[in-house]
Amino acid sequence: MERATHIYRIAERWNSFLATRERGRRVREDVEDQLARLEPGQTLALDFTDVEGITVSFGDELVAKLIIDRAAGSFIDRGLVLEGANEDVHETLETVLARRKVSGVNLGVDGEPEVLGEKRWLPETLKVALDLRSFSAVELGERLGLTPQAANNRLRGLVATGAVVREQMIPEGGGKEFGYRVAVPAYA
Amino acid sequence: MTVSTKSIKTQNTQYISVPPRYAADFLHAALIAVDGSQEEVELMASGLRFLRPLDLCALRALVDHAAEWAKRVHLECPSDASVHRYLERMDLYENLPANVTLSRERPRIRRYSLGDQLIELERIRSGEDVEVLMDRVDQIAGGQFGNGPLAKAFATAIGAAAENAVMHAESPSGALLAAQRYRTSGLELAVVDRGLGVPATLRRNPAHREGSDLEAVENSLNDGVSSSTEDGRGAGLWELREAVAASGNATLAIAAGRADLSLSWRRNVLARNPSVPAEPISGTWISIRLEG
Repeated sequence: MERATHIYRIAERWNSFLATRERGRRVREDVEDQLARLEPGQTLALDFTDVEGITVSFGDELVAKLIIDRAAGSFIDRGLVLEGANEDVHETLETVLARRKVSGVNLGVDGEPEVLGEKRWLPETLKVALDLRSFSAVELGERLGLTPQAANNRLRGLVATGAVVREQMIPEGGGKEFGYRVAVPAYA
Repeated sequence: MTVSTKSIKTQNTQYISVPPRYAADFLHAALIAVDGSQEEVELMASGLRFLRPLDLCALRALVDHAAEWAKRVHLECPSDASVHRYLERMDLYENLPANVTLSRERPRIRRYSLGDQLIELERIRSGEDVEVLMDRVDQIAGGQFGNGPLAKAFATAIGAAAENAVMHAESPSGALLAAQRYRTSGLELAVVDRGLGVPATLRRNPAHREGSDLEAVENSLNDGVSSSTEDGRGAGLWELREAVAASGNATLAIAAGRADLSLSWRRNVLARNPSVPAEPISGTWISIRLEG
């Protein structure tokens, strides 16, 4: 399976200052269309390079709703990360996600991921996931000293951010099991 | 500001005298006075000497309103040729309703591109109109202010105010928007709609049903306060306020229903100036001044 990262360059496709819910909805629909074209396991990077500013309404309709839809199970077998945000856009993305009490993962200029929005236990869990790269809920739980149930709860949140994808595995004894893999480009 | 003006009804004609300056302060009441009981409305604007973007939007809103409610509307154009030309340059005479006549011919003017200094009177009816406008605003803001907080305030203000008018106001003719950059006093922007107004719109949400119009307008500037009960809504007017406040010395004024609220920031100190207008204001009138 190809672990490619596809880059969605927002400024090239749309504009350098992005406002209004209507535009946010249109961009989100286009992003969802791109996500649908990806193979499972691939990652889409929402690239804000050359975007000078976004409004909260636009960001809510685009980024927050993409994350909320992931939490509900949409495209969780494909990765989604944010990158290229200037200071102003970065601050607005923080606000957008925090208002909704959800989280996203942004890549800094060095490619290192950071959690935006609601933090709680996510930075710690992401750090361990980056270390493991490909793992099960049990393995993550062991590393964090959590029960499998607690590890599963954390994984739901981590998968919603887009930094980790969920993959269906077929265990040796048969049945259904999920595995998890980091979708952050530098670690994938 | 006290304005000397009058609105007199004689038989079937309503005569409305437009003051030379700060016309918007008076045009609130004039909109209410035109109520369908008159055959003809005569708008006497010959004395007009100076219009801010808010006055321009208000005057066109009154023309449109009068044209809907009366059989005939006659607009007495400014006697000052430069003001007459300015109204033409700002598109006030553009696409007038069929029952509106002018006292003078429209002036012929050379249209130099002044896209970095002004936005002519623009009518916004849909989300798509807002998007098209935002594409222009993006160029204007960048050309005029670079990438600083003023550019963001300008673009955010236009996007939020225009979107608010389109999404919530249910105005019969959309919203009117205009902007002008002045050398001495900074950038002024106005958005006027003749819709339901912020207080009436906000009361659709059971959580915001109580309180005066003034409280409703103040409340609408807080994060998460919306006519919609959907999660995540209520960012627009809050963000408008935040963007204006972050731009430096600036003023944001919102008038709707029985509320007229002005917020001014000077050296990061906020001054509130709330008042209750004598007559309810039709729709929502937003004006912004960004001085930097």
